[in-house]
Amino acid sequence: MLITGTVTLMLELFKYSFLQRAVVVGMFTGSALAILGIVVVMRRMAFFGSGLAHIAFGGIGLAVLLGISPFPVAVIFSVCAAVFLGYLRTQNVSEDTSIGILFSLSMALGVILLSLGKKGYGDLTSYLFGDILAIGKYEARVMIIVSMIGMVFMYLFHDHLAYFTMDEDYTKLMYPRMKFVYFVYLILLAVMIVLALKILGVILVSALFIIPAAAGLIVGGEYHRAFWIALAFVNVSIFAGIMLSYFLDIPTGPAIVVLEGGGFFSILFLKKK
Amino acid sequence: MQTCEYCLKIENLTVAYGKRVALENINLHLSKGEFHAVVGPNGGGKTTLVKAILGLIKPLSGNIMIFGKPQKEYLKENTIGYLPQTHSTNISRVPLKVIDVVLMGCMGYRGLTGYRKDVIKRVEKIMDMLEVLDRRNNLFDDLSGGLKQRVLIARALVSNPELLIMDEPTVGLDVKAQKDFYTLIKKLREQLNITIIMVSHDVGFVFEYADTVVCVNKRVHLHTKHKDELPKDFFNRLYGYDVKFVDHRHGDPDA
Ligand SMILES: Nc1ncnc2c1ncn2[C@@H]1O[C@H](COP(=O)(O)OP(=O)(O)OP(=O)(O)O)[C@@H](O)[C@H]1O
Ligand SMILES: [Mg+2]
Repeated sequence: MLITGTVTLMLELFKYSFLQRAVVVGMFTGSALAILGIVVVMRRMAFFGSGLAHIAFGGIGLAVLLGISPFPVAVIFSVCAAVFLGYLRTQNVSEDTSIGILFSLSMALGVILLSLGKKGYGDLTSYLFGDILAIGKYEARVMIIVSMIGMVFMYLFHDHLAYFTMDEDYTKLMYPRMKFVYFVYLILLAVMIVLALKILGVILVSALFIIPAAAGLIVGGEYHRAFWIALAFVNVSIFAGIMLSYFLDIPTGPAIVVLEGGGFFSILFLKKK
Repeated sequence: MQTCEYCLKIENLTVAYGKRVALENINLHLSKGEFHAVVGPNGGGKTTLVKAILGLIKPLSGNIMIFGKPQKEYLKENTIGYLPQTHSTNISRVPLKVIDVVLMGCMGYRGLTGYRKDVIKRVEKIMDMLEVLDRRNNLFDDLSGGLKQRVLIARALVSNPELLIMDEPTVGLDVKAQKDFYTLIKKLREQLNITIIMVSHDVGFVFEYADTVVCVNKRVHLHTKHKDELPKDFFNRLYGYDVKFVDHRHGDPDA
């Protein structure tokens, strides 16, 4: 029963190119963010990440008002914010506080700019919650390429970033280029988060870089293993989420997040026993 | 090879955090192959001095030469063994295995995708010397404080440094571990011809083993070659009260 069900499901899936695309893009983006997310979770940067997503919303508002493509503008907004936050950190403002301020400032700006445009609030919900089924061919290609860059980068530098988290001074001493590596990491993270807004939107996107990574670290115990577990976790969630939403006719993004959240807490409680 | 009798030459070094001056106009010459102890009260600037030597803090002014080369140039080509003061690290955040922690000391030798076999071999040899090899696959965070300290000492040594700087290495070690540590220092000096700079509050030890003692309290207060040259009221002036000498041989459980 289960096997024939799965097979029918697969056949169903490959009839529709938009579904195929959603699955492939979802898995690439999810994988890249899950790996980048391990460092986010270890460095306690969850708020920083979701801050970047919300800051991108200001860029989206601006682009919609000007009638240009929103995502490139959002990428620029978030990358600038990431750099600016890095600078503020050296200025004795706590990172937490500066993110909190930029977060609401940029959201407010975004809403005002959107309301000024001709279309009113336009696709406000798709920016807030994402829509993986609406991703176009060109966008899909960009997302897959950037995800691959992110994964290769993490393959090369995951040790450096883990060491840097554990002992910043020591790592800088042993590897003078560490500051640059970390800078590249922040930019890749910012770009990936903005691209993933297509899938989960400003409000839900943090699920992609927090939940799988947290699950990986809890189950894996040791950080190398955490990467593989996070990858398995996110790919199963995304695939199952898309299927679930297709067959139950519910929104895709929330379906993925609910599966991830459910999976995370199941793991947490099973592990406790 | 160019010879140079000084391991470290510091001239007119001033370091400040914001407006608060931590080190003022430090001049210091430390010779090669010797064991230099740095003592001073809490907040005296010992850690700051160490970080300035390692290039981790940008000084307001001053010049630092390491083995006859300008600091920047030296650090580009060589590694310095460094054991940080314990509370300055975020150890508990990252679930690293003991072996990974020690490998941090060889980051400069890391290839694109990992470490070479001979690097791993050397790492294992040094871990064996410090008796932590059997813990290689344990999580670092699960070790006791003393074992952690030994692992961090191993990490400082794996890059084969000419200069080893340790910031309060014996904090948290029990009497036996402290004794082992001092024996290890002796062994290192005999076998590796290494220059050691060690920050310590363990005055008894310092005057037993160190070749020179540097007292840091915002300025370098005293720097003597021979401990007998210390003025009688030296500790009183430095710490504000008399320091009792603790003789280690009495604290030794095996004695
Ligand atoms: N990151 C920092 N920001 C601001 N001030 C600092 C910082 N680090 C140290 N200081 C100040 O610089 C002075 C010297 O500190 P340092 O840590 O070098 O002392 P120390 O001699 O190592 O003390 P301890 O024996 O407690 O380790 C202190 O007054 C301290 O408050
Ligand atoms: Mg100190």
